[in-house]
Amino acid sequence: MEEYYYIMPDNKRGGPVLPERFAEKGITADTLVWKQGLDDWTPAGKIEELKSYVLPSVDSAENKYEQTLSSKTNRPNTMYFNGHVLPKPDNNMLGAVLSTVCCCLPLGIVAIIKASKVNTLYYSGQYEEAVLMADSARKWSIWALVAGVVCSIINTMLQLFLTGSMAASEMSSIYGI
Amino acid sequence: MAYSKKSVVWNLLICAALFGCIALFYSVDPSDAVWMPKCVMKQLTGWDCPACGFQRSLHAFLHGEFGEALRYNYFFIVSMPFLAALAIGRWCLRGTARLRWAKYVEHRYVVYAYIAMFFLWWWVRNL
Repeated sequence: MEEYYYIMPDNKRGGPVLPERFAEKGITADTLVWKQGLDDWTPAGKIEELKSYVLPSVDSAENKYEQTLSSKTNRPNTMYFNGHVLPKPDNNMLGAVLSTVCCCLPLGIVAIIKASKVNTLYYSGQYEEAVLMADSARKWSIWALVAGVVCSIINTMLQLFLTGSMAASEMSSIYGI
Repeated sequence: MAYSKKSVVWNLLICAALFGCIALFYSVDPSDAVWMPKCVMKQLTGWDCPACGFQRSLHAFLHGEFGEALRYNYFFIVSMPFLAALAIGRWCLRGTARLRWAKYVEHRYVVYAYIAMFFLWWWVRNL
């Protein structure tokens, strides 16, 4: 049997995994799965060869509430795929903003813009684009932090090497942070 | 929901790093330590970057000198409430409440205003 990729309700994606290991991954009949050759992400329960492997579907109270809410307000609060809730991807805005606060390279701004775009894409119905954008936003905020810290440390070592005996207080007044 | 082994290990590592940083910034005054990281931007351009003062500010904050902490980087007046709001959405709220909260906190006008203030602060502090 072939391996499948899957999307959990909390938007954690995983795989490829063999159907024999679906249960330990918590894949239910509602979990979206995909393998090469399938047209689109499909609830695992709808695929004949997987029926014996998936856990029974769970109707969580939270999902039901969101459905009633969005039908009440008549606004697209949550996206659905064959009645399956596709949660908003985690755009990692917190990490993006954090990287602009404590990092000397303003790369975090790119992460913030991308994180903001995740919401726009999600609410305009472009789910896959939103997921990709969320990935990209996460990578940018991580790299902004890493680049900032690494560059500062390299810079410091260079300074120590070049200036040698310059007084500490004198240095910090020149070099910031 | 079960947590994967990998995510538990990552979370433990992140917590350890966090506590390490807090201990480091509590015990070391960045203004006195030559080996503490120095800003590349400042070095290259001579300007204070929007985050400059962060380490000294954290040191002061950990010692309870809040006014002093703010003086090193006034942008915290803007960034800390924003961070706190985002943190509430991420860690304290679930489901619909979280989505509603994010609609206001992560509204694109809020985000654009933050970015605008970031660059404004960069300009103002170098006047």
